[in-house]
Amino acid sequence: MGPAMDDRDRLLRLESMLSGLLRYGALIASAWIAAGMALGLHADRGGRCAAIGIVLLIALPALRIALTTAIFLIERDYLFAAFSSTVLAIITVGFIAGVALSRPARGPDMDRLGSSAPGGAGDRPKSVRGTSP
Amino acid sequence: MIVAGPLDSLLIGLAALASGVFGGMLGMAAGIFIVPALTLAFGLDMTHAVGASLVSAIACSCGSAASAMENRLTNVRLAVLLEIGTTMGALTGVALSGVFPESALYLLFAAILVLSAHQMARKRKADLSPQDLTSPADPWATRLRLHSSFPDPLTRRDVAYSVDRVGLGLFLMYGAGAMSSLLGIGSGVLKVPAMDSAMRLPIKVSSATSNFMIGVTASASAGIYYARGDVLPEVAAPVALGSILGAYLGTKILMRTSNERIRSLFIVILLALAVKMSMAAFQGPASAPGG
Repeated sequence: MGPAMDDRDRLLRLESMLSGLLRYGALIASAWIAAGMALGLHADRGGRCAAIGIVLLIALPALRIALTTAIFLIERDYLFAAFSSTVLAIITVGFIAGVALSRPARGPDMDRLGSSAPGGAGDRPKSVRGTSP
Repeated sequence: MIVAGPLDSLLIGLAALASGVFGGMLGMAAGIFIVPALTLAFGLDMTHAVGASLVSAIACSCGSAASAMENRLTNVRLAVLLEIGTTMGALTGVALSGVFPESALYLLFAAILVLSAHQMARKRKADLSPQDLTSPADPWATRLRLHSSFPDPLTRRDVAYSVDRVGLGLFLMYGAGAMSSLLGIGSGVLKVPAMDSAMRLPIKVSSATSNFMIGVTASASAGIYYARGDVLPEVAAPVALGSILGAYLGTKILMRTSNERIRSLFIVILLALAVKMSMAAFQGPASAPGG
């Protein structure tokens, strides 16, 4: 019974860390989005706040997988550390491919924001993109 | 449609709130209502609707995954393994989305809506019959230590379960991941039955584990959509916020109402949406007012 309980304790610790990350991460991201909406999404500052929240939300599961990998490594569970880093690699490859494949000519910013908010709102997504991992 | 002002964002937020309430009451993701709402009512492109819906799928998954983990229903090891399948599927789905014509996506979405309605009709019986958890286990699952246990709220004792057919499960998750990124849904509608019937997990464990995986799966495709500029902040922000709030309210309402009637009502709604989506496949969503 001894080793089984030990296993369970470690698992519980792992799960409470992960659930904390998910809950508070989602809360923080929603707060940024709410702030963005309060400031007005078409205004420069509001749009930027909302974009930060969206990037945080998208990055949150990737962060979770990174944390999972770290925990598996600490537990010397190298096979599962390899599994979770594979998932992280797939997400990263996808994001890089997305950036590479994005066609600048087809940027939605111009036709979308042309009518509203003049002055610098058009390049808003690009400036925020730098903050994503 | 061009999202021109705060009023449009507010309306989109309200639609997402309603979708979240529906989803929360049914125990399913809001995406299945959000994409039809954005395309049919707001006349948005499928790509932009999917991009916004994926962000909201992440948001909803994070919130509910956290509480499911605290109830020890999630099998984290199994989730990590299956996420290899779902994320690879997600990349495939994004690659395919450029190949499929938009009308094919509408038809595919209609098919998923019909499948959801069918599953909802079947769920009543499944709730009653207890599952056999002592099924033969896959030797691979034993080797990877995927078997686990969950606390039964009625007896307050841990129920041990074994995991079967890991290979088939991975394959099915690949398909579910592709659907998720093509249509902007969490595709719990595909994952849960795959885990229930192919891998023979207890229903509570499969829905908790599915929910846990939705975040990572949606993140893989949402990252690409965002990088391509297909996640419009003025759409995604109200959708994410509205659906989180709605999902929270929905689960609260769920606890107070008998769900037999609601279920039959939503089966009708899902089928009606399926009809609308397949009509849009042939006529184009541009027939929507203001489109």
